[in-house]
Amino acid sequence: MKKYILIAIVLLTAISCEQFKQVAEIEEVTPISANVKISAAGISADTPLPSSYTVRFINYGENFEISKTTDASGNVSTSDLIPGVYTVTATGESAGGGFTYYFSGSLTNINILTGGQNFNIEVASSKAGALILKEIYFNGSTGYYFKDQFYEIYNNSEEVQYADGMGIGNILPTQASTATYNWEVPDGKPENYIYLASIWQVPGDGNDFPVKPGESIVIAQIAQNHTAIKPTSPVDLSGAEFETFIVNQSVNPDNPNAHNMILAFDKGVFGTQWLVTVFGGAYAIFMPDKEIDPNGWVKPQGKSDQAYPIPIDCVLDAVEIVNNATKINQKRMPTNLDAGATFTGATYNCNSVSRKIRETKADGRHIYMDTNNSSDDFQLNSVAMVRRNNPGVPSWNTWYKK
Amino acid sequence: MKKMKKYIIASVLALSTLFVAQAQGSKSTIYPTALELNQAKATWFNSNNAAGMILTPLSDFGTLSVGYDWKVGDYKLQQEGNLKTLDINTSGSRPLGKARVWGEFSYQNITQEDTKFNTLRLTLDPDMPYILADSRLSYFKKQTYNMTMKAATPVLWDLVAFGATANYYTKSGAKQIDPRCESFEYGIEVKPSAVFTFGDHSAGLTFMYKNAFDRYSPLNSNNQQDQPAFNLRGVGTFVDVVVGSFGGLGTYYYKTNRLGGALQYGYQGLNAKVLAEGYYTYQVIDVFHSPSKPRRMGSTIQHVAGGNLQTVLEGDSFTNKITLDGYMRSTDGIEYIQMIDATYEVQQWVTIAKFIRSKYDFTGLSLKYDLYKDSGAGYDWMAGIQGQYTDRLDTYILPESSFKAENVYGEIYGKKNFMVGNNSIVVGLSAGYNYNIAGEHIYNGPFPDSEVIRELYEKDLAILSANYYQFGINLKAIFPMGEKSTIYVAASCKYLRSDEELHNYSYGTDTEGKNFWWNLNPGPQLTPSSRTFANFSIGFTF
Repeated sequence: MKKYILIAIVLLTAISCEQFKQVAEIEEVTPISANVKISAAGISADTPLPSSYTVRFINYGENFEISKTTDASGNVSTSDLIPGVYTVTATGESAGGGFTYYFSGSLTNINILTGGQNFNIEVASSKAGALILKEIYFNGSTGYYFKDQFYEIYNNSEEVQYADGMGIGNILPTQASTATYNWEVPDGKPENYIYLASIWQVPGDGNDFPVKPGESIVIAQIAQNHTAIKPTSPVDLSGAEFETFIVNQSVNPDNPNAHNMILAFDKGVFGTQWLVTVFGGAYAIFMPDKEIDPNGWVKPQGKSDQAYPIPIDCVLDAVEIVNNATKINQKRMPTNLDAGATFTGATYNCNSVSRKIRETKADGRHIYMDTNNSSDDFQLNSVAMVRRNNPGVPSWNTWYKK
Repeated sequence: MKKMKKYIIASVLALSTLFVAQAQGSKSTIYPTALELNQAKATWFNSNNAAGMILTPLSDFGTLSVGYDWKVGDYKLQQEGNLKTLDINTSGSRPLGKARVWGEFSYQNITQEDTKFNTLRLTLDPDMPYILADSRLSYFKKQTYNMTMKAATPVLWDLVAFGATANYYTKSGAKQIDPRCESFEYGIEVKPSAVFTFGDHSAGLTFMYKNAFDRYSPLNSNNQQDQPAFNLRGVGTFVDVVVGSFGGLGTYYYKTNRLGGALQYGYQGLNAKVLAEGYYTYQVIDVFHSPSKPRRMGSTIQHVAGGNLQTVLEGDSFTNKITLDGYMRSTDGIEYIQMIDATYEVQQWVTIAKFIRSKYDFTGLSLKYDLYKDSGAGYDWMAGIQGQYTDRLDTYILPESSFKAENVYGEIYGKKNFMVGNNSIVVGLSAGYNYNIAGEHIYNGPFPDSEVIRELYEKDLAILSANYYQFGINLKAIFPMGEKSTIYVAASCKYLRSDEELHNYSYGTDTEGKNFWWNLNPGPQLTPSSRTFANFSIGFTF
């Protein structure tokens, strides 16, 4: 008995000592400095550069953010940082030739733990996004109803865009989580791709589905009047331009008016409909640079998941949706496509996310925010709405009833 | 848990048997008032040194009581709520051969209503900043089991006695409104000790060790509705989190280890006893989240240093006791910077840096004087006065914020023992006043207009910085049963009311609109609030 007591005392003391050792000699936190240099080396000489950039040091773990403006040379310093893990974003804007140009670049999850570190951010430019994801309704309605999911895509530019061939899909992991995927791609540069669990493509030969400035198209999971099917659903999708109809099934009816999307890659589609998680997927729309090969999938190291790699250069727009505020630092979408994330924080309550209006033109056409940061660009809506803010409807949609 | 309850029941039965057995050997009636006076005189019993219990022993006794407590009213901290407690307690002291033993067991069934900003914890600790909180008005159901024993050997070789104190507690409970939680807290503390005697003088030393483990599993009953919550980090800073059925929070667990020591000096003359004690403890609590992929939420390092001086002077018919206590507690709040190591084989949270981010300092001083008029039933009457000073200062280092509450409190009290035949009726009165010296909360962190600031810190500051008065009355009717046992019925009530000098608050932003300040200024009163404490109990001594 004495032996056991002695062993217990020794063990407990050892455990205590280990715990005490781990917290020994920890210093008090002090503010630290950091320097950022913006580089626009990769931008065409024809593109007018902004006079300055806004640099944001965001520590998601602490709800802490400092925003600074660079000087004309693109340099900025701050001395007020709390040591931590930061996402540093740089954004700018310029105008020229009748176009608005957006500049953005970022560094994600960088450790700023000691003072005086220097960081370079390479910014890329883009004309104001043409086709953008305007509203996404993913979290379903009361009674576990999820067949009313839809995606509204809007022409935010000054020119007619053609939706023919445009792809839409959600990337892996399906949900934001601490699980990480180390993708193995043939060229050995996994950072140059996003990895889609499924790909739906708009049919057409290149000019069948024009979308004029200020018009939007709706891709419905099932293009039916869901308010009639499920009274708790807030949306009538019978006027949707497209639906992700699964052939060879009879559970869900086919709307003869809506064009059926082409299921080009189907590793992430199961059952009788294209159901993306009601907790929030990470979506992208893109114009593929080559035909989608159904067998062109890749796998992450040590996992059996299969996904299709799409080059980041092909992406038109991307939106990260996470479950809730706690998941922002577990985002999946590369930060050069979306530096932030949006969320509804609940499921099956008819909430949706949609872009905020940036400006309204004299003719009433809205220009939506598209800074490649969903945390800033998106708002939470208590009730999803098809064609919020009255966008135009393509003339070829003859079945939509206003 | 079932196994543990068996042990508890067995212990209670053993304890009862012990008392019944020892009851055979004594003939005088054990009045509760006598036990009260006996405990006041047992200076070593009131110290951290159990070995010294052999020098100033308690008398032989056993007690068993069942009581019900109410603590209700608006004068309460937000996390505190209104409490209704069923309390069962048994204790006793007796010789065991030449040694001396004392033991106590208590069970409490607690309903805690109208509580906010605590989703997890069964035991509130102002020095533990890392807790999950939510702003919904909720209530807890709790059960606690607490066992303590002290044992002391006889003085060996006319020089030294050895002893030990052991305490084991277990608490379980659940928050009853989403976001709800299943909570468990366990702890064990041992204090081996020795005392050396040199005539009237004695010196003692004590080693202290505590180990505790707390586990909390937040969850929602309605899995369609995630619940917003806050991971508090101290002095008003927090991070938004969500308790949800999927993608929400996992289990929290707290691991505690404490080491310490104490030194005592005692003098025991013919009519005087003096005991001085100094003690120090060092404690570390680590808070983790999600056991399958542990993530550190924070740690606290706590240093406690204190001392007390007990002086008992016994005359022919009076006993005087003076007690002086001093206490300093300093706690550092450590936060960890962690990243997921995405390496396929690893995939775990890795600490890349850690800093002391907050500090919690508390100083307490108290002086108490009790005068007893001795009688055969313990005391004929007693009167006392006490003064108390407390100073709490919490500091968040970066962004700099602070919370301060400094108070002095004074109280007078007394009891009269009316003997009617062998029956005894004890009537007591008390009156106290708290004066607030300072109270302030300055906040420069994110979200200065959040519920955490407005509903938790603002309202807690109003409570902790209020002047208040309180009055109490207590009654105890004691009826002897047989040769030495008694049965008693007791009731007490205390009423507290904050007076008219509560403070108000003002706040604003600096010229850049970034740094938010908020502090306390004297001004028009907030709504005065009150609190009522009531107790009814029935018990036995034997």
